[in-house]
Amino acid sequence: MFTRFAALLDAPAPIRHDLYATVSGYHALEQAHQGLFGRAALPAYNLANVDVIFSFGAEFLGSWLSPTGFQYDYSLFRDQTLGKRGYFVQFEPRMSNTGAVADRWVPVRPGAYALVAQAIARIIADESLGGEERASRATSLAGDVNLEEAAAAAYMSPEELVKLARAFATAERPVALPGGYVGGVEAMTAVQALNLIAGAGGLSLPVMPPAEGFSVPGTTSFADVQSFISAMNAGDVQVLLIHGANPAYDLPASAGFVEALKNVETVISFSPLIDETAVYADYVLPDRVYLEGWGYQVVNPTFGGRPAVSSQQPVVAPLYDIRSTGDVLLTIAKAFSGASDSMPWTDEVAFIQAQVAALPAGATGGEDEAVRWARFQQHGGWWSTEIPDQPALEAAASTPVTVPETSFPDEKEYPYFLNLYLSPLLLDGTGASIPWLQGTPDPMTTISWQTWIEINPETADDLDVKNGDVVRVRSPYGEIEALVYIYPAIRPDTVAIPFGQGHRDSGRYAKDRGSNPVDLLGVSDDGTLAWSTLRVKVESKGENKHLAVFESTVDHGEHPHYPLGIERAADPESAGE
Amino acid sequence: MLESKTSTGPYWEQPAPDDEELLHQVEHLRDEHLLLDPRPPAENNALMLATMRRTGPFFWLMVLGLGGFVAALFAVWITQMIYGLGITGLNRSVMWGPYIANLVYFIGIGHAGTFISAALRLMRMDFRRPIARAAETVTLFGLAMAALFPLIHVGRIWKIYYMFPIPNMRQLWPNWRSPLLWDATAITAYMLGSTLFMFAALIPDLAMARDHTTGWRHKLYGALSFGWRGTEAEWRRLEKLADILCYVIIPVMFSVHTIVSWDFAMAVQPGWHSTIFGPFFIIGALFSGVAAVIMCMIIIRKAMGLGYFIREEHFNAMGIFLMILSIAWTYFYFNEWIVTWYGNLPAEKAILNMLTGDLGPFFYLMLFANIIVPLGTLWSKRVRTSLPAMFVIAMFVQIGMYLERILIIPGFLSRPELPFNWVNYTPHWPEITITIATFAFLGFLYILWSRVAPIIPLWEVHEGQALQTTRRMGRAALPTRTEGHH
Amino acid sequence: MAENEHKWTMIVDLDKCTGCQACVIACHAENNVPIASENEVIRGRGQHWIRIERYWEGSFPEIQARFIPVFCQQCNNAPCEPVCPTYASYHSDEEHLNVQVYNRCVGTRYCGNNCPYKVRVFNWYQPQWDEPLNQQLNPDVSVREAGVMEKCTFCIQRIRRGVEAAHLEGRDVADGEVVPACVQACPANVFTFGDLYDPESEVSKRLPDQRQAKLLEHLGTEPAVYYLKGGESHVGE
Repeated sequence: MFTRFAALLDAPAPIRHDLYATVSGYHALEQAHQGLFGRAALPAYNLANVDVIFSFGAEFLGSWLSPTGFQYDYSLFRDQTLGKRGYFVQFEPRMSNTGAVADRWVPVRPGAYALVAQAIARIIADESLGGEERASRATSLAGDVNLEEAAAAAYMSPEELVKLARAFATAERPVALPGGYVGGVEAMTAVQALNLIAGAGGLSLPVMPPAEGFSVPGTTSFADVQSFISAMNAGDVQVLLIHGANPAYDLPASAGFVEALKNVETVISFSPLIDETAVYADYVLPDRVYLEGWGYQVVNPTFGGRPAVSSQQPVVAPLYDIRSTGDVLLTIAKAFSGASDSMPWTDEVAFIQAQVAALPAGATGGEDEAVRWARFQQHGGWWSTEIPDQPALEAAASTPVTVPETSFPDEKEYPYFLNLYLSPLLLDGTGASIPWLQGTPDPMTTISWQTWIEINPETADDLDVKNGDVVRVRSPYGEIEALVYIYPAIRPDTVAIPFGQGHRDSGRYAKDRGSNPVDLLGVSDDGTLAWSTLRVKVESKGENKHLAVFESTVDHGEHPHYPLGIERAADPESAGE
Repeated sequence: MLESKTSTGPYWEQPAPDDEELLHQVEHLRDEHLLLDPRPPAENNALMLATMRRTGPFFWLMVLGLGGFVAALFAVWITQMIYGLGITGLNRSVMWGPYIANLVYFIGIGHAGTFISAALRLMRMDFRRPIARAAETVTLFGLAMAALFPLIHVGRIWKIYYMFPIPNMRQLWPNWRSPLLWDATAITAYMLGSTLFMFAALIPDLAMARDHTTGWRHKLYGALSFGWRGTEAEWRRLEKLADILCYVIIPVMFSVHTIVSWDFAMAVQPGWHSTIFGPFFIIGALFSGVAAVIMCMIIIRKAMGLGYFIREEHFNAMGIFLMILSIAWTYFYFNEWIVTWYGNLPAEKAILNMLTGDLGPFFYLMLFANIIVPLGTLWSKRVRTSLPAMFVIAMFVQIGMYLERILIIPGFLSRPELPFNWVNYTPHWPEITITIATFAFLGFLYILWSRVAPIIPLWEVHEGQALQTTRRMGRAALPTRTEGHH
Repeated sequence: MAENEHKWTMIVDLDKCTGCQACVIACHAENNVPIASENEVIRGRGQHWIRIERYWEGSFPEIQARFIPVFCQQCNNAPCEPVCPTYASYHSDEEHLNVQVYNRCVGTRYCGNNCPYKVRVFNWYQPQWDEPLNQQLNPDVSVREAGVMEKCTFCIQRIRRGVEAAHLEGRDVADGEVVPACVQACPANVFTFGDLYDPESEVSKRLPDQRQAKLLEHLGTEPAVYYLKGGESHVGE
C-alpha cells in the first residue's frame, strides 16, 4: 500500500531496509541468482525430500528464510522419508543452533565458504564422483582452488574434505544452502553451483507472485539506503514516513541516518512503540500491533514450492484508540486527485478483501468471493492446490566461480574474526521489546536478557578472561561492551556476538539492556556495509558481572555423566556409504 | 565421717577424720567431687536465689543486645512473608537451605539434655546431677528454636494449618506418607515429653523458691509448684514419674533424629538416600548437643558464679563423652563416604567431587573441627579440665556440626541428577540474619530463664550429697554411695 | 481399567529437536508462567515448565551439542507425591497424571527436592504482569501466588476440555483431539502426545521403539514421557 501511496503522490518507491534481511544476505542471494540463473529471486528448498544437506552458514533452523518451514522439513528429513536418516553437514565458524543438530559441524574460517564450496566442486570434478553428469557439470563449474588451503580453512585434512565431497556427490538428492553473507555474492554463487552440479533436486526459484497485486518487491541494497540518506542530507526529502523499520537502531552511526533526519522537514513514524527512530519523529501515528490489526503476508519464497498467502486478523480488541496505518494512508489519499483510481477502498479491510478476491481458487475452495474471503480468514490464509511446475534451473553461464579475496582489517591490531549472528529469539532486535522473548534462554548459551560474546576456551585462556567478565570489543568502526561466555564450539580465531539488544528505546523490556553490535559496523571504503568482514580486538575491562544463564554455572568435571547416554546409538541405515 | 555409721548429725556436718593422712585424702575428695563436698542446703538455696535475682548492667546489656537480634529475626521473617522467599539465596535446584539446616541443628543440640538427664539418670551416673537442668534447658529452647524453622521455611505460612490433623472444611487429612508429618509428630512428642520431664524435676526447687521469695516471684512459683510440700508420698511420686518419663523419653529422643534424618534419607536426592542416616544423625545430634551443653556450663559457671556446683569433674566427664562421640561420628562419616566412594555412582561421585572441590574449604574445616580438634586434644585430662580449652573445642564442634548440616542440605541439593541443573548456592542476608539471630534468640531465652528458674537442680544435688560419703578402707578414704529409695 | 481412564503419554523425538525454544514460549503463554527477570535468572531461578537442556559432547573441533527438552515426566511412581504433607502433589488415577493442587500447597518445597528431574518450579515472589500484559493471561489456568509450587500439567485444562466435550457427545476423546501447547507449537514435530490406553493412538503405535529410553530410568519413577534417542549418520568416516 505504501508503494501505491508513493506512486499516487509521485514520490520515489519506498526503501525497504531492515537489519534482518541485510544480515541474512538476501540481497546478495538475489544477486547471486541473477548471475547464476538470470533471475533475482529468493530460493525455495525442499529439505524434506533430500538425503544430504550441506549448509554453508545458513541458519535455516534459526533465522534464515523460513526457519519454521525448514524445521518441519527437517523433521521429515530425519524421519527417513527416503529410507535413511539423512546426512547434514554445517559449515560455519561458530556453531549455531542449526549447526548443533548437524551430523558434522565444520568450523570453517570466516570468509572461506566460497573456497570450501569450490574445493568440493573441484574434488567432484577431479575424481569424477557421482556419475558422469555430475562430474561433467562440476568440471565446467569448478574453479581452480588449492585443496590444501581449503581443507585448512575448514579445520580438517584434505582426505576428510574428499570424504565429504564424495558424500555429497554420491548422494541421491543432495542440496547445498548458501547462508552467511561472508564472501558475498561469490560465496553464494559457489554454493548454489553445488546445487547445479547435484542436479538442483532440492532447490527451486519459485515463480512469484501468486496473483496480480501480490508482487513481493525485491530487497533494497545498502547502496540504495545510502543514496537515500544522501538525498535526505541534500534536502530532497521533505516528508519521511517510517513504518516497520528502525534505522536509527540498525544502521551504524557512520551511515549518518540520524544526522540526515535533521534535514527532513517532517518525519512521521508509524511505530506502535517508541523506538530509536520514533524519538526523532515529528509525529508518531502508532500502527496497531499484529494481534490487533488486519493484514496479509505473501509467503516468500513459497511454502515447499507452493505459493501461499497467510492472513492476519485481529484477535484482541485494540488496547488504545489508534488507527491502523493502512487506514491512515487511505484517509490521506482521499485528499489527492486520482485516489479514487489507485486507492479506491474505504478502509484497510476492504483493501485486503479486494486483494483476496483477486487470488485464484486455492486449496480452501469457495465458489464465490464472499465464501473465499470467509475461508481465507477461517483457514488463516490461502494456498494453491498444486505445487506449480517450476522451470528446471539452468545455469545462465557455465563458467567457474572465482573465489574472491575477502579483505579483513589488519590481523595484528584486530586479532579475532567477528561473527555477528541473528539471535534466534530476538532476531535483529525486533523481538527485544517482547518479555517472553527476552526471558527465554538462547538455545546454545541459555543466556537471556543480556549481550554476550562467545569465545573459545583456548582463546579465553589467552585473553585471561572467564565467564561473565566484561570485555571491550573494538572494531575499526566502534566498540561495545559484552559479557564473556566461554563457548566450546567456535573457532579459536573467531568471536561471536548476537544481534538484538542494546536498545536505547523500544519499550521498557528492551531499553538500556545489553549492547548493540551495530555499533561495531561501519561503511567500508568501497561504500558497502562492513559487518561480515570485520575483525575485532577484545580487551578485558577487569570487572565481572553475573551471566543470566539458565544452564548450570558449575563445571561438570572431566568425565561428566549425562542423561540418556548422550553417546548416540548408531543408525544402521545411515546415509551414504 | 569415716566412722559414720554411728554418726547422727546432718550429712553436711560430719566430723573430720583425726588422722592427718586421711584428712588430706578426704579434703582432696571434697575438692574434686561436689557430692562429697556437702554444704548446708539452706546455704545453697540462698546462693541460687541470689544468682537468680542478680541483674547487673551487663545482664541488661545482654538482654538488650540479644533482644535486638530477636527483633531482627521477626523483622526479617515478616519481610520475607511480605516479599516472598525470593529474598533468600535459594534457587531452583536448592529449594532447602540454611532454614532446614537450622532445624536439624537445633533439634540436634536438643538431644544432649535428654541424654544427660534421662539416660545418665537411669544409669545412676551421679555426676550429672548439677548439670542436668542446664542441659535440659538447652534441649527445651533448642527445640523451640527448631520449631520456628518449618514456619520460617514454608512458602505460605498463612496456610500452615493445612499440615495439622484437624477436622476442616476441605475434608482433607494431612498426608501421613510424608516424612514431614512424621517429623512434626516426633518433634511435638519430644517437645511435650522433655518439657514434662523438666517441669516435674523443677517442682521441688520451685517450691523452695516459693518459700524464700515475695511479690511476683512468690506468686509465680506458688502457682507452678502445685502446692508441693515435700512429703514422703510426694517424693515417691516424683521419683516414679521421673523414672517413667525417662523410659518414655529416651526412645522418643532416638526416634526424633532418626525421623529428621528420614526427611533426607527417604528422598531420592543423591547423597541423601542412605540407610546409615538414622544412627549417623543421632550421633551427630549428641555430638553437637554435648558440645553445646559444655559451652552453656562454662558460661553459667562464669557468669553466675556457680563454681561450687559445676566443677572440673563435670568438664572432665563431658570431655570424655565428647571424645567418644567424636570417634563415633568419625566412624559413621567414614562409613557413609567409603561406601559411596566405592559404589562410584555418577550422581554421588558428583557430590564427592563437590565436597573436595567447590565446597572443599567447608568440607575440610568440618573434618578438622569434628575430628582433628576433639580427638587431638580431649585425650588429655589437663585439656578436659581447662575451661578455656573446652570452650574452644566445643565451639569447633559447633562449627563443624553446623557445617555438616549445611553441606548435607544446600550442599548436596546443588548437585542433582541432571548436570544441567547443577548450581552453587550462596546464602543471602535473610538466611544469614535469621540464622545468627536464632542463636541469639536461644541465648536470650536462656539468660531470661536463668533468672526465673533455678538453673541447678538443688534438690538433686542435695539428694546426691546425702547419698554419697567417704568411707575408710584400711589406710585410704574412698567415696561410697548409699542406694536411694528407687 | 475404568472406562474413562486415560494414560496420557508423551514421546519426545530427540532426533528432531533443534532447541528452538518454541515449546518453552508456548508453555509460558498457555500456562501463565511468569518470566524471570535478569536478576532472577542470575540467582538461578529461571522459571520454565519446560526447558531445553543443552549438553556438549566432545571438544573442539569434534564437538556436538545435544538438546533434551525436559518437563514434568508425569511419573507413575512419582517421588514428589508421597512427600507432600498436604496432598498438593497427588496422583490422578483418572488421567494417570501427577497433579499439583495450587490451593493446597503450603510451600514446603519437599516435592521440588525430591524431583530428580528438577522440573518443579517455585514462586519465589508474587508473579507480576505489567499492565497491560495481564490481559494476555489464559483464563483457563489459575495464576499461582507467591510460595506455591507449580509444574507442567500436560496442559490438563486442554485435556479436561477435550475429554468433557467428547463425553457430551457421548463418545471417548479421539486421538489428536487433545494437544498440549508445546506439542502444538513445535515446528519440528518433536512431540507426540496421546492416550497409551487407546491402542489406535499414535503413541501406542509408535511404542515400543528401538530408540526409546526414559530419563533417569534407573530411579524407577516410571515416567509417562518416552524419549527417542537421536540417531547418527556417518559418511565414509
